[in-house]
Amino acid sequence: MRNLHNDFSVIKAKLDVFSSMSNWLNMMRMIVDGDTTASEHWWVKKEYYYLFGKKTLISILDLSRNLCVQHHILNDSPDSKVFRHAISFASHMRRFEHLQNPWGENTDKEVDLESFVDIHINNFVNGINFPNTMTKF
Amino acid sequence: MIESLYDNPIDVGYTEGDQLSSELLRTIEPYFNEDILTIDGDVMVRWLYNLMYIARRVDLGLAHSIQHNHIAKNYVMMASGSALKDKINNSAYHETIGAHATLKPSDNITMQDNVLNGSKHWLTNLTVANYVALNIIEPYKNHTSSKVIFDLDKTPHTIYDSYDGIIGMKSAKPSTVIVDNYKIPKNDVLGGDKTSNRSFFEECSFFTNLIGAMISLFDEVYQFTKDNDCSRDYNVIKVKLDVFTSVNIWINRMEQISNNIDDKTSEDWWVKKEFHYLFAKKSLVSVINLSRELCIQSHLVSNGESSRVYRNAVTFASHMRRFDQLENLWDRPEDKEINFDSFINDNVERICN
Repeated sequence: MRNLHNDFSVIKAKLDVFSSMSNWLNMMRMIVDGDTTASEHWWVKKEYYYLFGKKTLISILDLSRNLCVQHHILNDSPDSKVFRHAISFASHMRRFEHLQNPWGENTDKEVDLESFVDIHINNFVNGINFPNTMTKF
Repeated sequence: MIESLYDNPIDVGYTEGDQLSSELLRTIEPYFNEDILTIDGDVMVRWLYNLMYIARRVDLGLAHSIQHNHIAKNYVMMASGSALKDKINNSAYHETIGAHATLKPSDNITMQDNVLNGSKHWLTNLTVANYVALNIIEPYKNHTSSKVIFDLDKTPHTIYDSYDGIIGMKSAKPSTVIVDNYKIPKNDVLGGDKTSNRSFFEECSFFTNLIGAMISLFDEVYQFTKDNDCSRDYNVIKVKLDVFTSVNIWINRMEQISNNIDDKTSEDWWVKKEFHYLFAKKSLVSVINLSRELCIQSHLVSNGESSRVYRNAVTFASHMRRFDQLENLWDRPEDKEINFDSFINDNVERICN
């Protein structure tokens, strides 16, 4: 059987999985550190982490389908349970087009990436506390 | 008008030059918006470069666009000493600030007792910077490199723009900065014995450029999708998630380094470094792919401003390591796989305890 573990699509899925794990660890660290103040940047992170997790899950499902892993779709295969579990989980998550800034005004649900970067840099370079709202400069 | 400006460069002081360049930029704005495709690219390059010459500023970075100097600004803010940091903090947000060289340490510029001498050659890419960050060889310190940040407004220097040595992309000219016996403020010299600063530069300068290139291109692509009413398309959202995750990883990484909590002596550190690097490349490639799938013509028109951003991104990605080289840098040569279970267990244990 051809060795596929260094195939681009496999590596990309692996990178997604690792990044999702990093996101999850960051979220845990935020909670453990007591960083749960209601603020725009917190909600933006939560939103993106959630949907990036879904994206990763789907990329693994896609990979399984592209590789035609037969035992994932056999009824009596133990592995199919894992596959079905993943699909069920993904199907219950919010849809991608719902990605938005949960904090934003109804008329402006876009995330201001520049402000997001700036408030973080200001926090750890200049010691300025996170503002509740990511106001545009 | 364009030719005559180029043929008669005006040598003025910084303040006058700054005002003049603002006026000239206003003059050229219509060309950016409407007639850019009708102007010969070479003339445009020379004309714009003339503006920089007048303003006594020079472009440096590999990947910063005019629209996204906030990334460069943040980089310089973190890297610089207190004096420069105050100045940057107090500057207007949209003031053009910062970019930095990403070249390897050079022996063309040397530093002894904080005095700089020598010259440096860059590919300009047409962005404008006020601050320069350089890797400097210190000959009396076993050739270790330090990073120096200096303010071009205050530094005596000469700028040449020579068109003879074409480097890589045809998007911009190379330029040369010459410094002659310039003593830089102590606060603006970083590196040397300060391990954290060296680590900061080694880790973040490249990553910062990469994020800058990615955001520049993504903003272009995202605007296109909004204009064409397809910004909620699955593919676009997925790329957006990638970009956000890369930016967030970049922030976390710099935060760790600036707080001195990075530990290069652990496997965890090297595994993260490897994955973060290649994930950023993956995100950059996904933005490039999105541009291609959407058939954004302006990215392929040779003279367009947008195409410069696109070419920057492609060139940047092409210089990065290949995906199939992903490996565990820490482990034994015969076992380069990364154990996700131990990675999670170790990190959870660290967070909880």
